[in-house]
Amino acid sequence: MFFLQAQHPWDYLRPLAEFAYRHDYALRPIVLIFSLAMLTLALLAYRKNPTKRFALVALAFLFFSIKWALKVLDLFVSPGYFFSDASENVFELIILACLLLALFKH
Amino acid sequence: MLALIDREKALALATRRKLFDEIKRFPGIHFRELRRRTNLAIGSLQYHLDVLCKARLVKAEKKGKYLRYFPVINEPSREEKDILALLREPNVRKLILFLANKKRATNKQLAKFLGVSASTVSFHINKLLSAGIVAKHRKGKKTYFALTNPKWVRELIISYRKSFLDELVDSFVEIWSRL
Repeated sequence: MFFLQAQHPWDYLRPLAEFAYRHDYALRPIVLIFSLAMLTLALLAYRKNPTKRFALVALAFLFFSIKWALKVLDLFVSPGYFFSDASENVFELIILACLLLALFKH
Repeated sequence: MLALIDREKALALATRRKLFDEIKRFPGIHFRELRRRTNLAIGSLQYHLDVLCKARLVKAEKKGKYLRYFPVINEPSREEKDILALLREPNVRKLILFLANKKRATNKQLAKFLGVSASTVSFHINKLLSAGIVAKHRKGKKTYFALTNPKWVRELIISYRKSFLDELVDSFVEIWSRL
């Protein structure tokens, strides 16, 4: 029914946006836990195989964890205003640059 | 003289106990892997390993190009040591697991399973053949490889399997190394 009523292309994303907004308090800590788990794995992998590639992968997951730690903190400090989209973009740029560099390093 | 080092004294040092625990957890572990797990400097690790060997708590054995360490307590048999050393090589481990499931396979099937060339499979299979873990037999034009004692190999794999975290880290390393 919803799909028939949608007038704009972005209307199709509305249920997802509403779901994310409703569950924001639960989703952020979950993503933080997963990112910390990935960071732990990346650090253990670096310990097992100390190459530049694994150092960069670990660095990428470190920034990912920091970003999500800040986003969780944002829930308590100034809900939704402290960590802006623009600052999130900077983190994502660093993360992607690290992962891309890791592909070319051994 | 060397054996006069007291076992208790040898394990009094926390670093040495940790080292001994690692060898007990992973019988057949080699020097570099031990170094990674304990974060000890080469000289320091060599010294502590010498002490453990002199106290007859640990035994060092050359297996291929690696010097591997085994705990003397509950010491595995020679055959078990051979298979444990081989099980620590990822491709050989996969071959053993494949043969344990399929009962027998040709070189071509094994190469397809591992995604490597037939000559690489031959290289690994020869190690298993010389250790007596695998036997080959001809049927028509084909040569089949099979485990000599599948039940025993399965039991050994179960009792010395890696921890879940080890598997995760290995998968992580493998995925990123392939890219």
